[in-house]
Amino acid sequence: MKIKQKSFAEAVALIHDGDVVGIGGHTARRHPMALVREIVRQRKRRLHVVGWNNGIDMDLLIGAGCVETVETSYIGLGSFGLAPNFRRAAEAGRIRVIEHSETTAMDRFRAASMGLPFLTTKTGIGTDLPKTAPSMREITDPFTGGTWLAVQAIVPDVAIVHAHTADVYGNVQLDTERWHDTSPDVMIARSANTTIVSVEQIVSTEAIRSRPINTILPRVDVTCVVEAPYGAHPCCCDARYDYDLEHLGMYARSAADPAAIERYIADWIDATGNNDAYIDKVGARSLMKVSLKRSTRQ
Amino acid sequence: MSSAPTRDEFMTVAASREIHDGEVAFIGTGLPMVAGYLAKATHAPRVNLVFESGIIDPQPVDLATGVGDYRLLHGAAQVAGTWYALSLLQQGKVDIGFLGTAEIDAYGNLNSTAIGGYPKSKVRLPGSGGANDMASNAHRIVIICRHDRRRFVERLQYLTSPGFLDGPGARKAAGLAGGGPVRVITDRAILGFNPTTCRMRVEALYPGGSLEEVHASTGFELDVAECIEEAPVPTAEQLHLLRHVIDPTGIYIGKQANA
Repeated sequence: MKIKQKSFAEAVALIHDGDVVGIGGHTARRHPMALVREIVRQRKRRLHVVGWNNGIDMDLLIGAGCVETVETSYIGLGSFGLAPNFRRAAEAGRIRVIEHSETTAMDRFRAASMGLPFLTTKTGIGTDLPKTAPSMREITDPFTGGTWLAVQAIVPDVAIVHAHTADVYGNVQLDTERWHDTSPDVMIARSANTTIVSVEQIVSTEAIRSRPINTILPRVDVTCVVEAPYGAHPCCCDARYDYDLEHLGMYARSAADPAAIERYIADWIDATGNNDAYIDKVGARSLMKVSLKRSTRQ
Repeated sequence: MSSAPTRDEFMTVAASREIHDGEVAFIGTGLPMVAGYLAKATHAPRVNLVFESGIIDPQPVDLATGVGDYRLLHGAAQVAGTWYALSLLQQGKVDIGFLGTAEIDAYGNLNSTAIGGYPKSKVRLPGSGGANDMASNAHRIVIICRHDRRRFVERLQYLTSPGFLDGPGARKAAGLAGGGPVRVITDRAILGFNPTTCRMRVEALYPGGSLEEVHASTGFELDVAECIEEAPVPTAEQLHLLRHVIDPTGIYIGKQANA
């Protein structure tokens, strides 16, 4: 079997300037942040980034000048408010924004992951959302004559998602103690031509094959896997760790000021050079604080 | 001795009363989450709470700071995934959903996308998220927001989520399935919609509130229900639950009396 484990540099080199890049995760949960940071390090340009509900992942890519077009239902920083880099770029017209509801954002990946040209929905009809999206058009139900919105499949050049474990052959799993919405990440990963998955740990193929129920992506769906401990930080990662609210707050303050976000990128991304050094910089104390079992009653 | 209820507490209690026992309620963060937990702890123990992230029927202990928060899973019947939650909406199985908004017009249409132009704008907001999904498909929508002339506008700058669009029959003509908005709960009044015209109307005031103040805070012509009621006063039990059990540290419910 083909060994699919790669280094960050090798994996992210598969992304080219101008590519359409699908990004997994939800609000501040399990975005593939270690891969996002490597995209920033390699200064990819003119990307068309696509997700369904986004936050620091897209805001950071926009702040680093990597993005030409964003396509999603939402970009915000949760309790820390609006996403400052997205705000500045969108308000000034420096990036193109393709608006979606969550349903239509997801339908684009869902259609592609099923090998269909489009899916249909009522969600979005009658509003301004379809106006900026060349991928949405009203159609007539051939059986009933009703009006529906057709949402065209999207096949990203590359998809990046984060998960818990994988073997070196690219069979990817989530722990049983997972957060629910595995489904969009799976659709995003399956929709793309090239699929890069970062995982908390590379484990033995025996470990994977002893719990096949936990596999979300078998190797047929995966181009390469990258080992990225705390690879969603500062986002949360199911039962493995919680949000790093201190870091997210510091990011939000930095992002509010164009000079400060440059310093954030210089200090946390460029100067660290790789994910291990980034995690060292975050530090053991901060990582202990986000250990989830300490912060919930579960 | 507990102090007098704040406006946030009035709003939360009003929102919780919109949930009937046994219903499927689509819940986000903020006041709707508190209202949902309050309803479950009082008059609606069999409410089926559904979170956008796909958590079905949880028995929450701690408030979450986001819909992606692992605390939401506590005691849940299923961890089903976002696509399942959105499918419940599309199938017409969601009775009630709660939304906030940056702008609202007389027909209950909502803008959470941009203020001051589009696509270039003065303030770029996060976008629809699940708001359009709920507004398009839930049987009933309750909007919870602050009440001022910048928010209650004659014409939206961007139509993110559908209310009654441009009036009676418009939702059906457009092909929309859900029933549209039924209530708007603000810090100045509780409002509903005239069933004939689909335009917003004042239905209840808080103690000390006035119709003049509500009209002055609204940028469009507001109908008034034939009989204006007094907003329900939070009971001692509801205040105890809000202050000491559901949101003891005041994450979402302001502790201070509202101005």
